[in-house]
Amino acid sequence: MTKSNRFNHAVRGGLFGFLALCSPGLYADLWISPTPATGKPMETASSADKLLYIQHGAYPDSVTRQYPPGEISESEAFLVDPNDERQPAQIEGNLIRFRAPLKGQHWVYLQERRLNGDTLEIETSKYRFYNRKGDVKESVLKEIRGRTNDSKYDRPPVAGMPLEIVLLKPEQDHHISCCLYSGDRVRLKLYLDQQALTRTAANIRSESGWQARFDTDTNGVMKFEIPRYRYSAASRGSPTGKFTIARINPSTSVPHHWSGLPNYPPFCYWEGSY
Amino acid sequence: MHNNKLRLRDRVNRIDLKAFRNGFQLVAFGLLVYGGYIGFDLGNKLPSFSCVFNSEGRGGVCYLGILQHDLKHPLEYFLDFAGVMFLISLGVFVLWFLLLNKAWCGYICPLGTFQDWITALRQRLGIRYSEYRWNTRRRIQSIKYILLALLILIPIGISNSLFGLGKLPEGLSMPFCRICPGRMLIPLFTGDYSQFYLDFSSTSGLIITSLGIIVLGLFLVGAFVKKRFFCYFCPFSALHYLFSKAAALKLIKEGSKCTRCGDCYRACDMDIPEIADEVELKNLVTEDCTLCLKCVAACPEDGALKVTFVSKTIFESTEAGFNKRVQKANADE
Repeated sequence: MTKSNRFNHAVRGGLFGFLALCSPGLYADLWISPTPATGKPMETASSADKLLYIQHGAYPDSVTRQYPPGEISESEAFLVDPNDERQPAQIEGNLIRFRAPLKGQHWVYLQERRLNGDTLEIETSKYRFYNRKGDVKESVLKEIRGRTNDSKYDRPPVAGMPLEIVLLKPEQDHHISCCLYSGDRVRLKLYLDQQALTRTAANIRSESGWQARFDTDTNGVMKFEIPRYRYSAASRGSPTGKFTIARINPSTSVPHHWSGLPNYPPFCYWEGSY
Repeated sequence: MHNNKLRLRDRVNRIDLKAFRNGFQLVAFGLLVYGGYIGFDLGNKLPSFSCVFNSEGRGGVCYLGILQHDLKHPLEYFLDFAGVMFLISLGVFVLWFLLLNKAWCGYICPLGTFQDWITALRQRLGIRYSEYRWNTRRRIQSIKYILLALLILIPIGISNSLFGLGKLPEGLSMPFCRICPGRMLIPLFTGDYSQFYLDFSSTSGLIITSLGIIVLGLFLVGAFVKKRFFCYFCPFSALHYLFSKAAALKLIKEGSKCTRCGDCYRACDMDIPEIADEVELKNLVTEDCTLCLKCVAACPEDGALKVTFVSKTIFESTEAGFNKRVQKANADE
C-alpha cells in the first residue's frame, strides 16, 4: 500500500471524533513567507511566476521541521486570484510555486495533513499579498474592466479549508488602501468549516513580538488595534508595508464530525505585498 | 423616413428637459449608490464621485481615489508592469469621460445630484439663492486647479520624499478622499455612517478628519445658498476640463443666431457669463460647465444653442420647444 493510499484508508476508516484545538505552544507555527528562513529569496517578484516559502517554528524564528518517524503526511496548496478563481500551486520541499498574472489581491492557502496514530492532524496557513507585478497580456482586460470587488476584506471562507481567518473591513478606512497601518482597528473573523467560530479565545502575535489575547464575539469576530509602537512601520521606500501576522491559537474544544480523530494545531494568517 | 426623422427631432427639441434630467439623475444616483446590491458595476475609473467608501452599495468607483492611490507609489513602481496598468487605468478614465464630457457632472455625479436636491428643497422653501460677484467668481475658479495639483503632488511627494512631503504620514497619501464630502455623505445613503468620525490617534489624523467634517458642513450650507456650490471648487471638474475639448458630446453656440437676451445665463446654475456673451467661439463647454443643458432649453432662438454627439446634433434650441417649456412651467406654477 502506498503512503497516500494508507493515508486515505486511515482517514476513511476513522470514527467520529472531537476537534481538539490545541493549547498554545503545543505545536510549532506554520506560516508562508516571501523570504526563506535563511539566505536570500530567489528573485521571482518581478514576473508573474511567484515563489513563496513554507516556514515552521516559533514565529518569527523559523527552524527546519523534524517529523516524527513513521508519520504519514501530505500537503496541499492553492491560490485564490482577484477574480475569485482557484488556481493551482505546486509544493516543492519548502517552496510554493504558482503563477499570478493579475494585478490585485491574492490569497495563498496551505494545508498540511498528518496521520499521527489514529489522529488526523491538520495545519493550515493563509497568506495574502497584493500582486504588483503580473503579466500585461493576461491582465489588460481585468484592468480595463476595473472590477471593484477585489477588495482584500470580507472574503467568504474558502471551501475545503477547515479553519480560516478572514480579514473584515476595519471600522473606518476600508477603501482601496493596500496596507494596514499602526493604529488601524483590525477586525478578524474566525471560521471553522465555513461556520463562524464564536466565543473562542485566540492569540495574536506580531513580527516585532507584540502579543495579545482576544475573544471572538457571538458572530465569530475579534477586534483589536494594531499597536503603534510595535508594528512594523511602513517605510518610505516600500509604502505597501511589511507583514502583519495574526496567529490564532484557538484553545477551546469544539465538537466536530470528522472521519478520524483530527487535531488542529494553530492557524497562521499572513498579510503582505509581493 | 425623412419626415419621421424630423418628427423625432422636433419631439426631442420640445422635451421637458427638467423632468428628463431629474429622472436621469435619479436613475444614475440609484445605480451608482445602490447598484452594488444588484451586482451593477461600472468599474473603478468613473469620472464621477461614485464613492469608494460606499463599499457595499457602489455601482462603480470614482477615478480620483484610484488616481491618488496609484500615485502614492515610488516612481520606480511605474517603470514596468504597474506603469502599463496605470496608463491603461488613466486611458479607461479618459475614454469614459470623452463619451459624455462634463455631462458626467450635470447628469450622473451623485454629489451634483444631491446639490440639485438641496436646491430644489430651498426653492420649495422660497429662499432665494445667492450669486457670486464676477470678480469673486474669477478668483475662486483657480481653487479647483490648486486642489487638483495638491491631490496629485501630495501622494507623489509622500511616496518619493519630494518637496519635503516625505515627512507627512502615510495616512495622508490620499488627501482629497479625506476631505471630500462624498466620503461621509454617499455611504450615508446606504445607512453607513462609519465615516463620521474624528481621528484622535494622531495630530495629522485629527486635523484631516476635522477638515473633512468642516468641508462637509460647508458643502451642505453652501449648496443651500448657492446652486452647485461645490462644483466651483471640484478638482474633478478641473481634471475633466483637461480632456474636455476632445470629448464626443459638445455644447455648440451659433453666435450669429444669438440675440444676447440673457435667458441662457439666467438659467445657468454655474453663472457662466460666456454662455450669453460669447458669440465667436463655437464650443462653449467651459471649465465650470456641467453640461446640464438648461441653457439650450431656455434659449428661444432656433439653432442658437445645440448639443452635438460626434458632430451630430442631438438637441437644439427652438422657439417651439421654448414655448412648450414655458407653457409647462406656467402650468406647474
